[in-house]
Amino acid sequence: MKRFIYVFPALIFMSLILFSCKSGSDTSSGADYSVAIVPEKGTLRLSELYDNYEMVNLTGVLVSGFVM
Amino acid sequence: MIVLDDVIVVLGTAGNAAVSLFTREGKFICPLVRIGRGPDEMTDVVAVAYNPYSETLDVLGNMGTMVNCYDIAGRTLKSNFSIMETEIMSARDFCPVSATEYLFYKDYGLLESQEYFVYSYDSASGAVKDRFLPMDKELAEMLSFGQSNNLFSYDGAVYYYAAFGHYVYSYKDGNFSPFLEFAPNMYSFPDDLLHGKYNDVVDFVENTCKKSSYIWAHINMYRYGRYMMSSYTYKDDIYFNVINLKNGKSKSYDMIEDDMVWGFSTGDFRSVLSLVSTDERYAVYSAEPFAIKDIIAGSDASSSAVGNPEKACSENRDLLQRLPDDANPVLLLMSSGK
Repeated sequence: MKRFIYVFPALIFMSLILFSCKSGSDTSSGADYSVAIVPEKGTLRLSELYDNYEMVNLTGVLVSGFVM
Repeated sequence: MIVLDDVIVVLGTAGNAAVSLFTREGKFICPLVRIGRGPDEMTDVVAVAYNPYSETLDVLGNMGTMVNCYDIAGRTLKSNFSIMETEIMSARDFCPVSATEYLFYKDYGLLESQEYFVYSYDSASGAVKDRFLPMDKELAEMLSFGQSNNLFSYDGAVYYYAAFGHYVYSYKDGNFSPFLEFAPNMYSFPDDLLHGKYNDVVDFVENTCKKSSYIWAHINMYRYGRYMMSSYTYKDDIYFNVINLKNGKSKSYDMIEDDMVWGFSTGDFRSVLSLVSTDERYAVYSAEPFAIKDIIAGSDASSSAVGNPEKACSENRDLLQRLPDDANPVLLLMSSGK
C-alpha cells in the first residue's frame, strides 16, 4: 500500500510528461511542427491576421522592377 | 523592403540605383547602391539584409559573388568581401547571423565537387564554416524557380526554405535543423516525379507540374508572429497559405480580401497585393495602385461590390484615386497585437 501511494503519483507525472507536446510536433524528423497543405478555395481577410496598418506612398523617384 | 526606425530601404531600379533610401513617410532620400563598376557600386543586386550586429545594410550583388556593407547614416560603403574564390562562388540569397558570419543560399551547382544549398561563412577569416543540405545538381537546375526570402531572420533564429523542400529549417547557435515539416499527403509532389527526366524547366512546368494533381512552386516563405505565410501553385492556380504555429493548422486561400484599407478582393498574390517583407513589427505588403483602382471601379459597378466602404476605406480610396497611373506601389505596413 505504501509503495502504491508513492509510485502512483510518479506514474501519473511521468505519463503527463510523456504525452505533453506542442501542437503538431514530435515528428520523426525532429521538427517542431508538421502540417499538411491542402489546396482549398476560400478568402483570407486581412483583419484575420492584422489589426492595424500604416500606409506609405513612395514618392520622389519612380521605382521599377520592384523586387522588395 | 526593409523598414528601419527612420528609413525604408527599397530594392528596385530607380534611375541608376538598385537600392534606394526613403523616409518612413515614403519620401525619396537618395540612392544607396548605384549600378556600375565603380568602387562603391555593384553591377546588379540579388538581395539585401539589415545586419543588426554590425548596424550595416548588407547587399549581395555582382551576380551573387560580393557582399557590400553600407553604413546607412553616412550612406557610405563601410566594408565588403567576395565569396567568388570560395566553394560557394555565387549565392542567391543570404542572411547575417553575426557581425561577420553569414548563411548563404546557393540555388544551382557551379563546381565539379559536392555542393550544398546552404553554407555558413565567416567573412573575418574568409572560411566556409559549415555546409548543409547536399545538392542534387541536375535537380537544382530544374528547381531554380523565381523565388525570394529563402533565408530570413526572425526573433533570434534564421529560417530557410526553397521550392519543393519538405521542411522549413531553422539555424540557431550553429545548429541547422528541421523547424516545420510539410507532412506528405495526396498533394505532395512525389520525389520520383521530381527526379524524372525532363528536357528543361519549361518541359517540367508545362508538361508535368501543371498537369499533375500535386502542389508545385511553393515559394516565398515569411514569418510574422505566430504565422508562416507562403504561396504555391496547384494546377494553374495560385494559392496563399497561412500556417498558425499556435495550433499547428494550415489553411490555403485562393482570394485575399482587403477589408481594412481600401475594401477590395484579389486572387493575384504576386503583384496586386503581395507580401514582400516581414520583421518582428510588420508584415509589409506591396499594393499596385493602378490594378486596385481597376478592381474597385469594376466592383463598384456591379452588385457584388465589397460592402459599403467604411469611412476610412472611403478616404483611402480618395487618396488612391489621386495617385497617377504610373505611381509606385503603395506599401502597407500591417501589424498585429494578437
